[in-house]
Amino acid sequence: MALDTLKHVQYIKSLDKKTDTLEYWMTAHLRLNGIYWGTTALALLGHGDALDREQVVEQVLACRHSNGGYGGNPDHDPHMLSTLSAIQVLATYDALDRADTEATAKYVASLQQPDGSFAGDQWGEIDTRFLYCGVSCLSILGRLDLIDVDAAVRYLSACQNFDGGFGSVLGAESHAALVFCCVGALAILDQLHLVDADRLGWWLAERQLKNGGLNGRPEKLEDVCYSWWVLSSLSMIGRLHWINKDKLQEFILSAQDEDGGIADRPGDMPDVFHTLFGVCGLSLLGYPGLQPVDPRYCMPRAVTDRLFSHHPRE
Amino acid sequence: MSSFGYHGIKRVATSEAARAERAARERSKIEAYRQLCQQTVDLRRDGVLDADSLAVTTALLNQNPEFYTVWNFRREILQRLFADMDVDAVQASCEKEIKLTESLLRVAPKSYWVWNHRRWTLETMPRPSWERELKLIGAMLEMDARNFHVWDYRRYVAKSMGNGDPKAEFDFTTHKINQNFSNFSAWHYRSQMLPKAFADASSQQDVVLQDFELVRNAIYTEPADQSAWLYQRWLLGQEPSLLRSCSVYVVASHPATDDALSSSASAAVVVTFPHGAKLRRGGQIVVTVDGRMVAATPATTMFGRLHAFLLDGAVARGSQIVVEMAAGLFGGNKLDVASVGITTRGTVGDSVTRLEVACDAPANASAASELPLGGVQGDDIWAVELASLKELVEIEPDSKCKYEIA
Ligand SMILES: [Zn+2]
Repeated sequence: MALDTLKHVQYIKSLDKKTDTLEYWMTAHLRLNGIYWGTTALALLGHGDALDREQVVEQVLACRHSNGGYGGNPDHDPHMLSTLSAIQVLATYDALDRADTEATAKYVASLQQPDGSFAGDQWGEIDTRFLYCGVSCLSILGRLDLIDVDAAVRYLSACQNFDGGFGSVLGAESHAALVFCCVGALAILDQLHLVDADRLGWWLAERQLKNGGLNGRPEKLEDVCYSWWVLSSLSMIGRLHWINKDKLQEFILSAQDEDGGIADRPGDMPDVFHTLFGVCGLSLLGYPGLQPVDPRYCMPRAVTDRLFSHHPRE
Repeated sequence: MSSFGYHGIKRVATSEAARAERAARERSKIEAYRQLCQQTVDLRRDGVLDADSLAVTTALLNQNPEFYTVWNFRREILQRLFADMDVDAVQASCEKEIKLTESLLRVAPKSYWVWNHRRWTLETMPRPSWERELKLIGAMLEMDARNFHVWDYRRYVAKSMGNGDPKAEFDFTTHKINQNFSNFSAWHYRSQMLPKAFADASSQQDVVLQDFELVRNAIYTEPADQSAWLYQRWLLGQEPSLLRSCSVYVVASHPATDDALSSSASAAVVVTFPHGAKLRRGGQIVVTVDGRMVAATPATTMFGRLHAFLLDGAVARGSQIVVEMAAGLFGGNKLDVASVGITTRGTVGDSVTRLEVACDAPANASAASELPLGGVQGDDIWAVELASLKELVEIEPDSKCKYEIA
C-alpha cells in the first residue's frame, strides 16, 4: 500500500469548506490547532503552498489577544495549546515578524509556576502538555531566558516514573503523548541525559502491538496518533530502531481513507489530527517523498533549521 | 490524546445525496447553535455577568462541553454573583455546578475542561464534600477503569483531603486489581501508595511479599498482560538486599514420576542480576542441551533484575545444560557486564536448578571483579519467584511471545 499524497492534500484543503456540518461549528475552539495540523501535514507532504499563505497568516493573527496569547478562534480566550499552534504556523510560513512576538513570549513565560510547571491559562490547570508548549514556544521565539529553565527541568525529571515513562503531572501514570511532551521539552533544553533512555526505550518499544500499530499505554488499543508520540520519543533518545518499522508503516498506510485523510485505525473516520500524526510517523520512518520532520518540534526540519540559523537554540 | 480528532468512530460510506440530506437536516441545528454562540460572545463582550447569562452558558455547555471559553465566562459570572451572596447561597450555587459537571462527565468522561471546572467549584465552595468525590471516582472507574483523568483526579482528591488515607488508597488499588488484573493504572498507583501506607520496614517487607503473590496470580490469569509484569519489576526494585550476585537457573516442570530420564518438560532459563540490568536488543544467549542448541526467547520485560528465557522444545530431566551469555547481552546503569561473557553449566533437575557460573576468561579482569558471581543463599523471594515461573512454564508453555517486539 502506498501513501496517497494528492488525496490527503485535497482532504486538508477541503476542511475549511465543511461549514454545512454541525461538527465544523462544534469544533470551532480547535480551529487554530486545526490550521497547525493541516498546514504542517501539507508542508511534510511537500505541498506547503497548497493553501494561500496570506489567508493562513491572517486567520492566525485574527486569534491574537492584546496580551500576546492566542485563542482557538477569534473571540475565544487565549490558551497555551492555541498559542503554540499560532507560533508554529507563523514560523512555518516565515511570518513571525507579522506579530508582536515579545508580548507572546511574556504571556507564555507568565504561566510558569514556582515549581517549574506551566499552567494552560490564567485558570491554572497544570499539565506537562503546557510545559512542552511553553518550552517549544519560547525556544522558537528565542526567549527561553524569560523562564526558570532549571525549575522546569527539575519538574520534568520528577515526572519520570519507574517504568521510564512520563505522565501529565507529578505522580501521574506514564502515557506516550506525555512522554513526547516531557522528552521533547528536555530535548529542546538539551537535558536528554536525564532520561533513562534504555528503560524508556523498552517501554516505548513495548507499545507496538502484533498488528504493527502502537498504543499509548499498556493494554490499550493501537492508534495512528501514537505513531508520532512514540516514534518521536524513540527518535529523540536514539532508539527508533527498537520497533518494527515495516509493520508500523503498513499499519499507518492501512488507516488511510479512500477519500483522503488518515483515521485513528483502519476503517474509522479520518480527521486532520490523525492525518498529521500519520504523516509525521511515516516521515520519521523515512517514507520516500516526505519532508523530514523535527522530532522535538513536530515541524518540518527545514523550518527549524531556518529558525535556529537566525538565533542559536538555547 | 482523546480530546482531539475522532477515536473509534466507524467510517460510514456516504453518497453525495446522503451528504446533502444530512446537511439539510443539520441546517436548523447549526443555525440555533451559532445563534447561541453569538449570544454568549455578545454577553461576554458587554460584560453582562448575571443569572440570565449564566443560563445561556448552561445551555451552550450542555451542547458543547469542550467550548473552554464558555467555561471561563461561566466562572467570571459566578465570581461576580458570589460577591453578593452569603455563604449558604454560594454553597447552594456551587452544588448546581457539581450537578452540571457530573451530568456532563457521564457523557464526556475525558473532557479536561469539565474536570477543571469541577476542581474550581470544589476549591471555591465553602464546604466541599471530598467523600462525594471519592464516590464519583468509584462510579467513573466502573465505566472505564483506565480513564487517566479519573486516576489523576483521585490523586488530586486524596491530596485535597490532607493526603487522605494512604492505606485506604492502597486498598482501593487492591479492589480495582482484583476486578481486573489488566489495569496498569491501578498497579501504578499501588506502587506510589505502598511505601506511604506501610512506612515501617517490616510491615513493608510483608506487603511486598504478599504483592509478589498477587502478581503471580495476575500473571497466571493473564500471562500476556504487561501490567503485572511491570509492577513485578517495581517490586523487585523495592528490596535492594534481595540479590547480591548474578545467578543462572533452569526452571523445568517435570511430571511427578519415578521414570527420571524419560520425563521431559518445557523449561525456562532464568538469569538474575544484582542491579538494574537491561537486556540488549539483539543480544545472544546460547543454550545447549545434551550438545544440541536450543532457541531461547525472552519472556520477561527487557529491563529489571530478573530475565527469563523460555526454551524451545522439551528438556529431559538429567540433561546436561550449558548456558552461554555472550559479552554484551546485558547492560545497565550500575552494571556493565558488556565486556564479560558468562558460561554456566549443570544437570537439569526436577524443578529449579542453579547452574555453576563461571566467567569466560575476561579480557578485562577488573570488569569481572565488579560482577559478583555465584550463589544466592536463603533468598526466599527468588525461590518463590522461580517457583512461580515454573508454574507459568507448566500452565502456559506458549506464553513466550508476550514481549515480542520485532
Ligand atoms: Zn489518536
